[in-house]
Amino acid sequence: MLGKILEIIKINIKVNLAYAINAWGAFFVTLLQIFVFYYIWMAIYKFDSVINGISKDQIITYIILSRIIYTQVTSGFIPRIGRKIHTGEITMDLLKPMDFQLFMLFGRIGDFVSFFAMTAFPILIICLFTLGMQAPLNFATSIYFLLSLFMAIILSFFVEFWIGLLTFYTNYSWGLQTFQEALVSMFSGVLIPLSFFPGWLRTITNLLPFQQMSYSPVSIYLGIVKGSQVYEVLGFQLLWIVILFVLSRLFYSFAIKKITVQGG
Amino acid sequence: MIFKYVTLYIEFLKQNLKTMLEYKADFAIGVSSTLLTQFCGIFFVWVIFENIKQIHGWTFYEITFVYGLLTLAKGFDMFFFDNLNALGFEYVREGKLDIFMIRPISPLFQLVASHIMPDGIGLLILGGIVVTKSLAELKITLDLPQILLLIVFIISGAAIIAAINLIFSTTGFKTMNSYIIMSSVNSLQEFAFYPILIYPKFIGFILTWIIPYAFASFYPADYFLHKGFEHYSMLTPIIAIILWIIALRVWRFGLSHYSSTGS
Repeated sequence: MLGKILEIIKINIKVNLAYAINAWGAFFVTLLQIFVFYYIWMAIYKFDSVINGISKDQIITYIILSRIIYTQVTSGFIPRIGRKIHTGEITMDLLKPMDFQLFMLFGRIGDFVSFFAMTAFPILIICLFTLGMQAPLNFATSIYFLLSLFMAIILSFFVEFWIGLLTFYTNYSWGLQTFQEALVSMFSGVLIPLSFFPGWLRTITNLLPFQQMSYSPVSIYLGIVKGSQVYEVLGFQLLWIVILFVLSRLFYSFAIKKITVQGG
Repeated sequence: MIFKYVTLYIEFLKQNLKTMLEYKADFAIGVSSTLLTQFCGIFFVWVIFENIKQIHGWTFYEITFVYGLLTLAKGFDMFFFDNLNALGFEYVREGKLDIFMIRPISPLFQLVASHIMPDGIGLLILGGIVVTKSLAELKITLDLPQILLLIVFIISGAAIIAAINLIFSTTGFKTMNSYIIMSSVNSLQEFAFYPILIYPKFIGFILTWIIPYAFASFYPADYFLHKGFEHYSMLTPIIAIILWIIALRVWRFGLSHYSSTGS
């Protein structure tokens, strides 16, 4: 089983290497967005050094990390599921001796690995030397951060998978992808640290899974949550993974019965 | 000549609208999700202003006015010129461009006219609301010539975005996929959604003279906001015309070096 999993991950990395131009595009666009928001935030912090308990240095690191995560969790996975359904390629996947959802999940992890190497890592290096980044507070924090980041990717996979299955009902997977991007932008804390939100909006985001994709790992990294709160945050991420797993599973077994492949 | 192309475009448009109305669910998803994504920028600025009074001397509605103008320009560009994105991977790679070349109409015209992007309507709705609301809140009332001028600004803005896209789409003749380069250049628009004065000088310079997206947002907006750059505002239509002259030359150059993939 483990051999199979590693093989799937490896194949996905190879595919990503073959289309390296996509990684370069993502690299350039993400870097540009980081700079846009860097200057906007510097204008916001012109007269204050701390707003809402977040310092100027923290916000720089916040932008860099959350923008990179945003690019990864909106990397066009939904149209990929959509294409499988439209072209009928999914029938081949369904015949494979592995569960379709698991198969896609391991593929997604392969994507993540190549994304880190080809896009995230160069961006981090450039930002480190131009904008300056804070190091994690201590060793334990970096371990918690990596754990939280990993859960964020798994969690965003389940959200994408769930939305991706809607392509059983509409042919327009790019529209669904854009829709997911909007939800992630608004509620994950990518645009603004959630501590800037007014109370009622904070309540809404707490009821949604999106903050687990970006705000949770980044606030662990920056020490916005510390001590026993960290376990609480990790616990919530795990809880959301379970909830979304069950929901996507139910929806999957419901939707898969609907499948009508158009000739092919 | 021009009359022929206008009637032809109307015929194309009719067919495109039929397609659009055929897929009602796709239309609703596309329009609402584009609207929502673009709204995120307004949402961002709104949350910031819940925390602080002003950014760099700019008030909330001054910033949204700049944002709204570019949203409208981008909306028109998206609605009418979106097919430029597909030049490389759809028309060159699959050899569809050959069909255009043997017809007695300009291939560029056929490329642009054969597809419209309904999602652009989402941007037009949002941009329209934001611009109207901002003008009202800033207590700027426009007389008829000023309204006409605003329309000229928005059309010029859309033309600027489209011309820049056209220039970079021609890389598709060689690479068969211009989408990545185009979306990279397009992401420079992100800067232009906010007043360019908050950026360092060199970024302002790039957005003014190299990839002049600021002429689709900041400069025309300043004609009404009076932040000291009004004298640039009137350049907007001229920049649009110059860019189109350049873009058409680049297109002709690209087309003359086009060799079919033969598939």
